[in-house]
Amino acid sequence: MAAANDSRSTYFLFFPLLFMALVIDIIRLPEIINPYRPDILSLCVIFFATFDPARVNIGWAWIAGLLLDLLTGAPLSQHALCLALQVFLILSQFQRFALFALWQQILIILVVNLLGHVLGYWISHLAGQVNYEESIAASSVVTAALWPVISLLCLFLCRALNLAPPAHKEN
Amino acid sequence: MAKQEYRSLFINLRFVLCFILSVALLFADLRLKVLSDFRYYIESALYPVMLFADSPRSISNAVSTQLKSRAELIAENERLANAIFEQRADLLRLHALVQENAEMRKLLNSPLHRTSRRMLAEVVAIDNDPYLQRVVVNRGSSSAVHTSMPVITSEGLVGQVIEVNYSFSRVLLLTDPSSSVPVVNVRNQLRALAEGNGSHDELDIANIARSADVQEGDLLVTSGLGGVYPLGYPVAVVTSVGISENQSFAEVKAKPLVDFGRLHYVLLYWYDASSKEAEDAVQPKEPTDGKVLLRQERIKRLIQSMSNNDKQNAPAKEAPAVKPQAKLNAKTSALLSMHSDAATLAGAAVNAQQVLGAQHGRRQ
Repeated sequence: MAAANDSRSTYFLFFPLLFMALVIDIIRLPEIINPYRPDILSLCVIFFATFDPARVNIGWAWIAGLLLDLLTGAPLSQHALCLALQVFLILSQFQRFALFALWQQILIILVVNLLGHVLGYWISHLAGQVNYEESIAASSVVTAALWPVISLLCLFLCRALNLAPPAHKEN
Repeated sequence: MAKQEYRSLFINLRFVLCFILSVALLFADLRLKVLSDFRYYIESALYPVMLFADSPRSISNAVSTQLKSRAELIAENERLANAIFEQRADLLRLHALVQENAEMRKLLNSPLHRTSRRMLAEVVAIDNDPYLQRVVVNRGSSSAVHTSMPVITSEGLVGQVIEVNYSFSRVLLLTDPSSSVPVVNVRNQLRALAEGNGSHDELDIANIARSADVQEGDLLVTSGLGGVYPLGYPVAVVTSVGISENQSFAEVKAKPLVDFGRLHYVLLYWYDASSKEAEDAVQPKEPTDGKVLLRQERIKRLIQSMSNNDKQNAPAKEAPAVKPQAKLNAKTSALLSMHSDAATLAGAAVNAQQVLGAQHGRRQ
C-alpha cells in the first residue's frame, strides 16, 4: 500500500485502453478477415485483472462487456457475462497467472477465451439468433496469439507511466 | 491461508452477483422488452464512439479522393458525363413508360403505384458479432426513419430497418439468419422465401419442391408479399440447385446481388403497403360503359316494377320473392360497379319477374 502513494492509479491507463479496445472491437474490417477479429477487449481486461486485481475486477469486466453490448447491439449483457466469466476463471483458477511462463499464459487465454465465446454462442442461441459457424475457434486462436503483444505493451505502458506495481509484490 | 480463502470467496460472490444481474438483464431485454427506451438513449449517446471507430475508413476515403490525379479526374468526369447523357435519354423513355403503365393499370382497375420517398444514408458501423449480420446507418428517428423500412442500393435489396435511435438506425441484412424475404423467380413467377444463413454472400432458398423449376442463374426479385418490401426489387441470383434423394426439398442457394462487404451508401425507402397508401393512391376508374349503365337502369326498372307488383299482391304469399328483392334493393343502393354483381343481380331480377308473371297468370 506504500507503493500506491508514489505511483498513479491503474485507472489512469485502464480507461483510455478500455476505450481504445472498444473502438478496435467495433471498427470495420473486410468480411474475409472479420471472423478472425481478435478479442482485444478481453485481453485488455484480463491483463489489468491480473496486474491489479484490487482495482480492476469482475465488476469492471462486466461493465466493459455491457458497453460492448450497447455498441454492437447484441442482447444486453451477452458480452458482459462472457467477459465476467473469463476474468472470473482467470482470477479463481489461476491465481498466479502473472508468474506463469508465456506459453502457459497463451494456452490458458486460448481455453478461457474459447469458453467465453461458447457462452456467447449459447446466449445468442437463447436469443433466437441461431447460426453455427466453424470459425468460432478461429477468433480465440488469434486472440491467444496476440496475448504476448498486448501484455508486453500494457506492461511497458504501466512501467512508463509509473503505475501501481503488481499485487504479487505484497506476497 | 484464511486470507486466500476470503479472497476466493469474494471473487465467487462477485461473479455470482454479475451472473444474476446478467440473467436479469437478458430476461428484461429479450422477453419483457422493458429496456428499449434505456437502449435508445444510451445507444444514441454512444453514437460518437461509433463515428470515431469509423474514422480510419472515412479518413482513408477522404485521402484517396484528395490524392486523385488530374488525368484520372478528367477521365472520370468524361465517363460520368457520358453516363448522365445516356441515362437522361433512358429517363425520357421511362417517363413515357410510367405514363403508359399508369394508363394500363387504370384499364385493369388496379390501384396505381406511386414513387415513394427515398433517402440516402451512409453505413457508419458494422455489428461485428459473428452471429449477427447487421449494419448501422447514419439516419434515425430525427429523419423520420421507422422500423421495418426496406433498405436498397442501386444493385438490389439490402434488408430492413430493425432498430431506430435518434441519429442512427440498425439495418438487418438479408444474410442474417433471422431474416427472410418473400421473393419471386423472374423467369417463371415461382414464389419462394430467401433466408439468410449467416454467411455474407449466400442465401438459402427455403422449401423449394424437388420438382420445381429453378435453375442456376435465375434472378429472384421481391414479390411484395408480406408488406415489408416493395414489389420487384432484385434480391439474388440462384447459384446452385442441389437435389438429393433423402431430402424432401431441393437445396437451393443464391448469391445476393449486393456485395455486403463493400456496402457504403444505401437508400432508405418509405414504403407503406397498408391501407393509407391505397387510399392516397389514384382510384381506379369506375366502369361507366354504356352497356353497364343500361344494365343498371334496367335492373332499377325491374325492381321498381316488382315493388309495384308487391304492393298490388298480398305480401304473405310472395315470401320467397320478397327476400331476394330486399337483397336487391340493398345492393343497388350500395353500388353496382362490379360486372359480376350486376350480372347476377340482373339474372336474379329476371328470375323473380318470371316467377311473379307465372303467379299472375295462374291467378288470372
